[in-house]
Amino acid sequence: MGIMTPTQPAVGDLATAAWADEVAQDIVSLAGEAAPAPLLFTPGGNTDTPGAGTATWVTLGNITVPTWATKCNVIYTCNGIYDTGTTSNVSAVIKVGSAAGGLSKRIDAPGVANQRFHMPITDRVTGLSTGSQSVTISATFSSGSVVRADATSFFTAQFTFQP
Amino acid sequence: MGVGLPAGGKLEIEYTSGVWTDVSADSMNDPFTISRGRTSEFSAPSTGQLSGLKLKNTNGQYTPLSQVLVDGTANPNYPNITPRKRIRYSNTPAGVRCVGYVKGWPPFVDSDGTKWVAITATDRLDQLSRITLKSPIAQEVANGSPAYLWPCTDVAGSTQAIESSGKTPLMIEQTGTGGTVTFGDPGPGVGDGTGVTLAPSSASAGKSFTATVLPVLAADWSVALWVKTSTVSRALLSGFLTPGTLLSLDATGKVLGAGSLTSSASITDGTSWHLVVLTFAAAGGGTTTLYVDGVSQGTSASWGGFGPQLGKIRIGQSAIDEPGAPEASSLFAGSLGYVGVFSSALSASRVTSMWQATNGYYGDTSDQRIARWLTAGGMTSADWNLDTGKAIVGTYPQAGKDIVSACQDMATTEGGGAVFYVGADGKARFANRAFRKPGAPVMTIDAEADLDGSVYAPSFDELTLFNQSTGNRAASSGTLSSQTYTDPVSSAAPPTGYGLTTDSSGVTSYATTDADVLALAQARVTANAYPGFRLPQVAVDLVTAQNNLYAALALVEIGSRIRVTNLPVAMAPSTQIDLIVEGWTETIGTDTYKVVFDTSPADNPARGVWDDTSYGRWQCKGQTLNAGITNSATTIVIATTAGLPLFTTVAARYPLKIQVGQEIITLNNAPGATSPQTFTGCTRGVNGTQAAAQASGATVNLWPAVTWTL
Repeated sequence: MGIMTPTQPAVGDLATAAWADEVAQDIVSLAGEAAPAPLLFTPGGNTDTPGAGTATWVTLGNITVPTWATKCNVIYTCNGIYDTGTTSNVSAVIKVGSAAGGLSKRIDAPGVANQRFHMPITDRVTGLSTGSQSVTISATFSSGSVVRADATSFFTAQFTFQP
Repeated sequence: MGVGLPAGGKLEIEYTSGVWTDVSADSMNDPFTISRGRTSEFSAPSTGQLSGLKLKNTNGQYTPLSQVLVDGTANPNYPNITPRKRIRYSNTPAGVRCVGYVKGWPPFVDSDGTKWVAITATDRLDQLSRITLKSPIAQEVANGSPAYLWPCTDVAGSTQAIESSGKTPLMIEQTGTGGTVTFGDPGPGVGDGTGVTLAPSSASAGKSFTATVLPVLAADWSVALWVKTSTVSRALLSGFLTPGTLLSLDATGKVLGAGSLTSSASITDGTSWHLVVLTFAAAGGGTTTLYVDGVSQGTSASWGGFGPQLGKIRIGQSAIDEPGAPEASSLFAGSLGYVGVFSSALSASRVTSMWQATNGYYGDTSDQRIARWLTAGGMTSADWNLDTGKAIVGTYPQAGKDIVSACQDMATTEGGGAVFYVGADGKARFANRAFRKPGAPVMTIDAEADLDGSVYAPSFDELTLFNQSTGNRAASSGTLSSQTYTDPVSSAAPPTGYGLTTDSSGVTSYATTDADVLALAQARVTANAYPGFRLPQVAVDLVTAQNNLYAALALVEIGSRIRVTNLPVAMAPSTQIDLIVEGWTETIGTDTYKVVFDTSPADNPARGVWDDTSYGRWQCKGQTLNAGITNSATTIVIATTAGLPLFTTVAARYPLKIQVGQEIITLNNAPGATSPQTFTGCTRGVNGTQAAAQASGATVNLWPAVTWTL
């Protein structure tokens, strides 16, 4: 007994809707604009997460969302950031224009003040607006100290668009 | 009126099993017909029929129940002129065209004194439609031919469990005082009725069952019962003579069988039903096998060739210590259902099937479910030809349904034109939804050389139009739910679209997930949202056709693709049309062999096939002609909207077919890498379409535009 789970199709199989997402991604990856160059951003000086509430932490730059795209997968990294105390409780989410990613991820600081650490996150953003959009990381303060990026830190983001 | 059959024809009757008697010489041959199939992929095939056949009865040899012929000699056919004899018609090289069961042999005499019998026969669907299925467990137990079966489905308040064929019931036996027996409690299986619960006041005081199983069973025997309990160290079933207790539970809840076999796992979870089976086969020195939940737990030869004789059994108590009062021990506490005693050693596959019935066969593929029901109809794998189903099926309310209806429901659940019918060779056939995968046609009919024009009646109408379909997932398959899909473009109000039109019949699915049901509704809408040019019927006379089509006829099944070529211009939008066969009627006379195919359009739209150069490409988007072209231009420039994928520059991907308007064009050479892309040396008006002038900005599609299937 069991439920059938989609598996990779074999040559000659009928093309079924169960594989629609995978195929859409494959097709998209064949198109030139589907995977724009990665964004790389380095802050000019100290850039802290907000001490209360939710605010934009860093702005990575702009990307062009293709006219046919409605969603994207994004891999972004926060490199060389650090906790200004030992008790930060801050979550971060990526935004493309006004569309936010599905994950609001707590920044896993090591619990040691001023020790640099890295954080890679994979997320999916739906409901994209097309055209040039600003890519930001929004942070929400919960308790304790704030997390800081400085001129030694850098952020990257890589997008794969889907219809 | 001709006499005899066309060349290559042969008519045979099976008077006795496996012996076919050639009666070709007696065929009077007013043309007779063989028909099978359906007119649409959304209907169920009719029972196949052979009708209009006349056999010469000059000497009375086909007169029913006639023991003596006209000339006074004994009738060699007596007593075999009875209904349900098999008759088959075959043709060399088209093969067996029909295996039917004779409905009757009515004799007639014409005014000129000619004597004959009229024969009508139906295929096996007719037989199967007369067999009603029981609920899953009841059916599987019945398939094992039990000598005694106590379903324990008696109503609440009963004081005994009746035997299903009226033999001795299970009687309640009191040990000590106290304890209860409660009928009407939840039983095993899905739709298999209630069970009975035994609740003794202690291990040594309470109620159990006993029954006499006489006459004494054959040397081989089996016992089976479904149990649900949380109490360890109790007896399940015991016999009268040594070695006494046949099945019991040990201190950890494992099943002990025949004193020497132990199950690998405990069954005293208290929540699930378990099937416990013990079989004894006398041959080969005597082998006892214990099965728990359909899986063998080992075999033992400790009884030798003389196993215990089951003269009397007890359910829920340990070995009987007669004469004298019943020995009080190990009274079973828990629920029971479907207690069976068999006068044969059940096979491992039979036990497995019995176990699979416990959850209503949930998780079968559609063909596995059909095979179970055909087995219940007395058929074996030699009698069927079933594709592996793509749909996963949940539970199904089979009790009281006939086999054909149940199998048709599986074909509907499979969807995508899947079909259950009896083929020309007499075998039950299930074609899955992948059977209509695009590919080469099995028969190509030249309209000028082969086609019988008398049936040429093309249609382009709204008869098959609908753009909204609702898939209902039956409550009996798990969860009652309803999924509706609407094609937004087709359902727009006229003149933009065709207006909302609902698939009136809808579809009921027994699949396990809503996703399957939604896919089914989507597939139905996709195939019917845009009317296509149809040839509902295509006829060809194999005798007069200029091409030899007999061998191709042997390959035609329901769902096969056939192609009509060379259609006259103006009779159809293109000179070549592909069709899917849904059924056919063969009319066979001395000098005629006419076949009329009932068809539905193929490739409207085509189903996508992975990695197929014709049917494996996904539709392009945002491509238009960059400049108008004449009907003879061979250079075509195609513009692509910025940001959308371009035509590939890989030369190996060409030739590639595109469609502009109604015209199909072959792109033979790879273009440049940037839009607009220029294609030189194109072939215009292929696949029977007409080359036409096309305007600048005309939309370019790949041909065929493929679609997702289920």
